[in-house]
Amino acid sequence: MAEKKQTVILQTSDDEQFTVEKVVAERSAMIKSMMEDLGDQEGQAIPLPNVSSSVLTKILEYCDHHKTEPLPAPDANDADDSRRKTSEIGEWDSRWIQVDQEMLFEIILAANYLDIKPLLDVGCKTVANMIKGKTPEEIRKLFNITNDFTPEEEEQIRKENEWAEE
Amino acid sequence: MAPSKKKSKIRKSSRKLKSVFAEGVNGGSSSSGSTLTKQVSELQLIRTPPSAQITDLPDELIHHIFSYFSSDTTSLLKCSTVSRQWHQAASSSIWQHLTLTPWSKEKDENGAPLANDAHQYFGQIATTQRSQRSTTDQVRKFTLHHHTSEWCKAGKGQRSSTFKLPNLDILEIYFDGRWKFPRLHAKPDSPTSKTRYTGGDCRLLQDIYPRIIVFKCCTAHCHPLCVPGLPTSLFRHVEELIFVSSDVEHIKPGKQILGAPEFPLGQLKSITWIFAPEWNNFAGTSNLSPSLKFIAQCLFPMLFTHPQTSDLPITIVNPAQQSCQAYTTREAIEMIKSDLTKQATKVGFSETDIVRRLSEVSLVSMKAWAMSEDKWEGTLEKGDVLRWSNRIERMVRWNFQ
Repeated sequence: MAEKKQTVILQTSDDEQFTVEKVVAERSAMIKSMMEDLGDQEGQAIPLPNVSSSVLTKILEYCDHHKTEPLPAPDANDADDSRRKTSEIGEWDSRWIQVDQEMLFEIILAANYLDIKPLLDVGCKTVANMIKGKTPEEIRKLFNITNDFTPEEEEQIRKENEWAEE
Repeated sequence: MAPSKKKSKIRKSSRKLKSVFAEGVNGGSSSSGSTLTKQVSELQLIRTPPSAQITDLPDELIHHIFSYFSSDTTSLLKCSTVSRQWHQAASSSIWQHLTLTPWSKEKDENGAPLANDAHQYFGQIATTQRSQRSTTDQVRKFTLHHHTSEWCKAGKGQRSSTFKLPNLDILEIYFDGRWKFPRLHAKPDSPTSKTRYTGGDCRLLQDIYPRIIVFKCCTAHCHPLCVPGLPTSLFRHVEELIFVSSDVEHIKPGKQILGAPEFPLGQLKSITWIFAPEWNNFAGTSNLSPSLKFIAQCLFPMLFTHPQTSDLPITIVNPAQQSCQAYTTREAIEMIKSDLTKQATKVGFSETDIVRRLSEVSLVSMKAWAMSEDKWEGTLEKGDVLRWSNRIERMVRWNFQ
């Protein structure tokens, strides 16, 4: 019975159920607070309607690897946090995040929804590193972004940016 | 890549079926109908692999990504030209801190940099203000690097071009006597000066109302508040005045600095003077007295004669440490205080008055101040403060050896 208490059931958008250790699931501030709300209701699955099973599998791998690390403070201010100042990613994390773009953005969206701050940072840093050193055209090509500026707007932005150049 | 993905899905599917099976055996709540629905959605998933694109990310996440470029304007500028969404997200980071520098890449015959064409810049910024997502709305900190006569005339003759920064919090002004801007240094009351400054005529500062002003002074020609061209209105909402002065080499012994502040400073709550070691010939290795005298001369009107500031607390952040041989923190403050006393006595303040007012001056060592980050975070650059602090540490060590 005591052992059973240490797990939680997560149900994904495609209705798959995952039985997960509590310490692993707790990496998600969102799941953690839901577990607290549910209290002792054993066997009750926590629905995650925004996360598919393939993405959750991947994310659980991350949570499992980091389960012994201290959780970030719940009210940590994201604006001026020191973790923002570096764009370095840990060795294990950078190997783990080597996925295709679709999976990368699914991970970022899920990390945001599940409120796993360090994971969101890893995902966003990875994207930032992909952007770095590329021209706007290369960035558009890489991410398949449409240039939706009118020629007038483009000219306007060019003028604005002349100001900001150092 | 694709086949392995599929394999993992199949593996999961079988796991899924097992769990459905287990539910059935246990006679759980799920009816056979809902089991069927689950299987159908599972099939749909196999047909639709992860498909998110960067364009699916909400603005807050794009912003989060750009936050890693906070000190990398080049990347931010590139991002801002990618798409409308990216432009929006990048601009707030780009424009949060606006810096104007008058130096162009060209030099005059003495090797000093020439002033940029401020007229042209001013015209441009007036143009950009027309757009709805006005860039100037984003500016929280504005650095005028350096304040010169060129900026004062900027945009003159362009009628509708008022420079506004509605969300400005911090104004940082450098003024520098090392380069020759003859018109700037013309004595304000000199009848021979053709471009005499009477105050209130700097076009860039005319219509902005910062909460904090940081003056960075590298010159000792005049009181920082008396720099030609600063309009009275600039001080209307100022709550905090921070002066950063460095080793003053140009002041001649006995020479009085020009001017005394006469601006309304009704909202002011605190004055901080930071004595920053910007050059190596500092604290214990050179004669500090001109620098300390400059501080004393600038503090005097604020402490004694200005009607709105004479009751305010003044903090001096001094680089000298207890262990520094040439000047200890205490000796430095004694030098400043004795100079202030001399000036106050000269204009007829009583001894009790002088003692009472001087008691409002407190002194903090640079090290202690660097550690109380809440006092300056967001106002001053962290790199600057740490550099000052480290430099002093090094010099103290050097003095001991």
